[in-house]
Amino acid sequence: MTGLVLFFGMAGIVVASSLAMLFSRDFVRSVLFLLLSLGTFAGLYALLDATFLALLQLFLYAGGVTVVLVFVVMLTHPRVGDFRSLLQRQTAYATLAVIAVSVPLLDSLLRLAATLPAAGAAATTSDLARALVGTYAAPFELSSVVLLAALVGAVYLAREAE
Amino acid sequence: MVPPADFMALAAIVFLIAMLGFFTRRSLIQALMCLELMASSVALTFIAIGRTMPDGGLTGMVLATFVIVIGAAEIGMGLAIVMLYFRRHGDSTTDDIDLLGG
Repeated sequence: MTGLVLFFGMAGIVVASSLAMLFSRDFVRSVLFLLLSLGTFAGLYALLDATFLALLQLFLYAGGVTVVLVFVVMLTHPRVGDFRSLLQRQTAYATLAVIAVSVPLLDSLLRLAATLPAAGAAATTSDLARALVGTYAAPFELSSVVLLAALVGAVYLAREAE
Repeated sequence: MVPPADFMALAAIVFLIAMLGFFTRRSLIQALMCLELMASSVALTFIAIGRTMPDGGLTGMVLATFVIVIGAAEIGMGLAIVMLYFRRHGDSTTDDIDLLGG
């Protein structure tokens, strides 16, 4: 019962803040709504017993990504006009395309939901740790290479041209 | 316990909102913000569908970990490209980015 109340409360916050992020004209405000949305995602992960991922989400997205986003907004100081000037030329077609995608997506989801078994006992964080250095050790090590490559690439691209 | 399908429905709705934002906003920064939101909702889908499996959600959590790692790498590279584009062209909108020529 408590879980249901928490879920619908957080679902409301996530949907409302995502929409607010989309429709706010001010970029910094938009980033703050993104922060609220990503932080509430962490709560949803915790509700699914993925406590380690909830913390990872808070540290990485809420802590790191939004700070970097605020820095880029400040460095590029984007011009803000009225709301229409923030939209692409193809907005009407894009909206139609998203609606066209949403119908089969939600339809297949509803049909899948009827066949899903109920959730059993949850895996713990130590299970996750063992899986990451055991069964999934190779992709785990590869992901650190990806992060290193992204770090070097970002520094190379963003450096001052000499 | 809330059924995992409810989490997946929520993730699909947030994914569609983010997709709408990605296709309609002119700013590159906001396109990247929408990508982050999409990555988070995909991770939520993985965790939710994983909970219905006999391993107690372990596979879903491992996949979600990799989604979060890729998301972090992507936002770093993406923002570096936005900074580079801003330095060369003086704005950060998607209007003139229609060639792959640099």
